[in-house]
Amino acid sequence: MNENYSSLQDINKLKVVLIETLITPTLDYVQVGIPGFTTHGRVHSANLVEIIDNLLEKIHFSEAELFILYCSSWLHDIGCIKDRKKHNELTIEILDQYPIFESHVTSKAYPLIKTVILAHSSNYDKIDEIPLLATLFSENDTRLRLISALFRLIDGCDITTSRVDVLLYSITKVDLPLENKKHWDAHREIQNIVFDTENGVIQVYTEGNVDNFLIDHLEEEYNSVSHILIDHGIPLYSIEREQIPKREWDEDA
Amino acid sequence: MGEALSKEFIVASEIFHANKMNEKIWFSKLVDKLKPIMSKVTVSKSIDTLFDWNIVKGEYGETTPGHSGRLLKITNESKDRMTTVYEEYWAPYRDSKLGPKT
Repeated sequence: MNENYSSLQDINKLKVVLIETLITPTLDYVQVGIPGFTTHGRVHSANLVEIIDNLLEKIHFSEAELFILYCSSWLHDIGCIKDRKKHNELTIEILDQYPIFESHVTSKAYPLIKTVILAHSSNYDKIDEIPLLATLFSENDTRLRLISALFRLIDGCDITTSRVDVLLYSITKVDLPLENKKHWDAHREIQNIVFDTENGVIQVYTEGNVDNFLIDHLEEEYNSVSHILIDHGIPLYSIEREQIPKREWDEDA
Repeated sequence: MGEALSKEFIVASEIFHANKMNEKIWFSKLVDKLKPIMSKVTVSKSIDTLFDWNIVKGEYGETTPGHSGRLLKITNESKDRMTTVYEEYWAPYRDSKLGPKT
């Protein structure tokens, strides 16, 4: 179980832990979609939580905003169980079908979480119509449009090598269609992504060629929300790519 | 019990230890810590295996001031497993193997 959420008050931390506990067995069944896409299951959600925690060191979030972001991390992709296309809408359908989710997060938080989840896909073109502010624990404590934009970006940032199960790939790659193999290989090359707010860039470190289509897609995601980030004074103005040496210990040893 | 771990999991456990202590750890620092029990080549091969099996990941960042490298971390999906491995098979024996205050 994830040991994060330390910035939340105990009562909200408990709620997030309950959501995580509730959803992770189901996330294990979000199919990898062999020979299609890399995982949208438990590991992906855990990675988003880690990205949020890294962002915490650089951007101040309210208790409410963190709570919504963490819950969204765990819930946003369960629609992939049905279909990857329009999975954001499918996720909402699933959540609405089972009242336990709303009861866990509370009826005040639930519509805000659904807004963030709906907006996380780039096919959602109404992100600029999301209210700027919302109230969860106290008056206007949630910059709803901002965290919707940030969550789309955070989701887009989970493109690193951690998306690739090495054993699975090793077994299946021989039979993978070339198009899918390119996808997996592209993930394998991306080492990590850093939000460098001091220099105003999202830094992508890649072992492979910086001309990586996954990074291109991340740029598209970023471009779809950058105006919202800038309007809110978030110092992330561009995506930078840097090629890093392959594992340095191979040369050292 | 202290002999139960493979060299790969000793390396992983030591990385886990550093992550747990919120200490940055990278290849040469890890080699230094494990010097009493393991050669540089062994550490290198072990890390390769751990990377291949997605137990360890590297995040490019600052190691010492002004220097960059791969900061080693246990992957999210391996954390639960490594917690057990570390607590039962490495933590109780670490000091006797590596010397205290490493």
